[in-house]
Amino acid sequence: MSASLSIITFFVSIIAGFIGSLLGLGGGIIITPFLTLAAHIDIRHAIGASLISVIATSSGSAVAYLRERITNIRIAMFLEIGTTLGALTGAIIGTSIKTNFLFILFGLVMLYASAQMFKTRKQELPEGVKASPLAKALKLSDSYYDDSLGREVKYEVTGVGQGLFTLYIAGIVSGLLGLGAGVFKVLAMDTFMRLPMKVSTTTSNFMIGVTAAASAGYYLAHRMIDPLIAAPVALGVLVGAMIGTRILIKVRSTTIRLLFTLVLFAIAARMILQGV
Amino acid sequence: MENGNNQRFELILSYVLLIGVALSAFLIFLGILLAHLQPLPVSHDIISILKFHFGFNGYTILAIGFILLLATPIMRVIFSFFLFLLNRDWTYTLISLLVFLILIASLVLGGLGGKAIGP
Repeated sequence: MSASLSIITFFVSIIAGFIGSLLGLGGGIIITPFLTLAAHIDIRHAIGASLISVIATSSGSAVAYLRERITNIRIAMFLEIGTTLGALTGAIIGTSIKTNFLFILFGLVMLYASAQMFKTRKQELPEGVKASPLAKALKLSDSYYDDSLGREVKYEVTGVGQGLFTLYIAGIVSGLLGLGAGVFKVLAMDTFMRLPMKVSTTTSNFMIGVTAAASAGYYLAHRMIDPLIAAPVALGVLVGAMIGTRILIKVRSTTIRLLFTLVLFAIAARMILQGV
Repeated sequence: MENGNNQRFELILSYVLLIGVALSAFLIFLGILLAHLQPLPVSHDIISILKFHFGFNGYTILAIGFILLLATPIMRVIFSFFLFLLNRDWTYTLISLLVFLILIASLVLGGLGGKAIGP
């Protein structure tokens, strides 16, 4: 990788880290197409670099979100059972499944989800959520201080079983497709567990690092991480995450919802196109 | 979370991640600068570097930086386990342990060359 390409990759990665930290995604949605289409790097190394991007975004932004106490550690820890099991299942069943069908199927699921999210775009915080018995038993309800609203936001949690199951499936699928790990997490927490948007994105952010680390063995063994490509990605993403975490705290949830809906739509379109 | 104990909990995890990220970013930055001073090894993925080019050079520093970055989320799970244990929160001690075990199983199985999984 030439010095000039490294510098361009660094700046593109800042954008990836920024969007990833804001929306609870890993940044692979930007890194992979940039490296393959614009930088002409082979897909294996591009996916390897996007794994690094996921881990850097996750760890980098969690530093701030934990300190601000927006991340819900209990929810993350509990749902990680599903995501890591998903990664493990993926490692066992492998790529023998035809992925074109999966791309189209999950592209359509995301398209539907983006339409649903568009409908609720004006919703700042979820309303009328009653804690489910499982959520009570697991002590998942919590609160965080929302800087943009200037008050403490208390919230209840529901749909824990559905959330866990969705994340298990998402763990397998995003592993097989090589993208969407963060998107499915945010969607599950928003749709089934009815968490405030900022809690969903920051908790997703917190989890994606562990899910990605669970598949790191495969990437290392298959020599997919080229440090010369991954280095500007890691450094850029960390800078982007530092900026993104400051912004998330300040903006309204509705802004994040709208941005997420747009990115979701873009990912859905890309997945469907890839599958056709 | 509700009480003071847990607030400290979050701060400790935040520091674990901060140390992992800062240290690996430093090594990756140093490594990429030094790597330009040396000829590029034919196979320069992390495992090849550690196997065939281990020593005081930019590539080794890069590889160690990345291993540290990959290890950071795993360290976070290990610290969570001990923090829940210290808080006598048995449910979550068990959950953390379970996550850790699945994580390691997946890591090892993937490393043994199981079929493709992505980020």
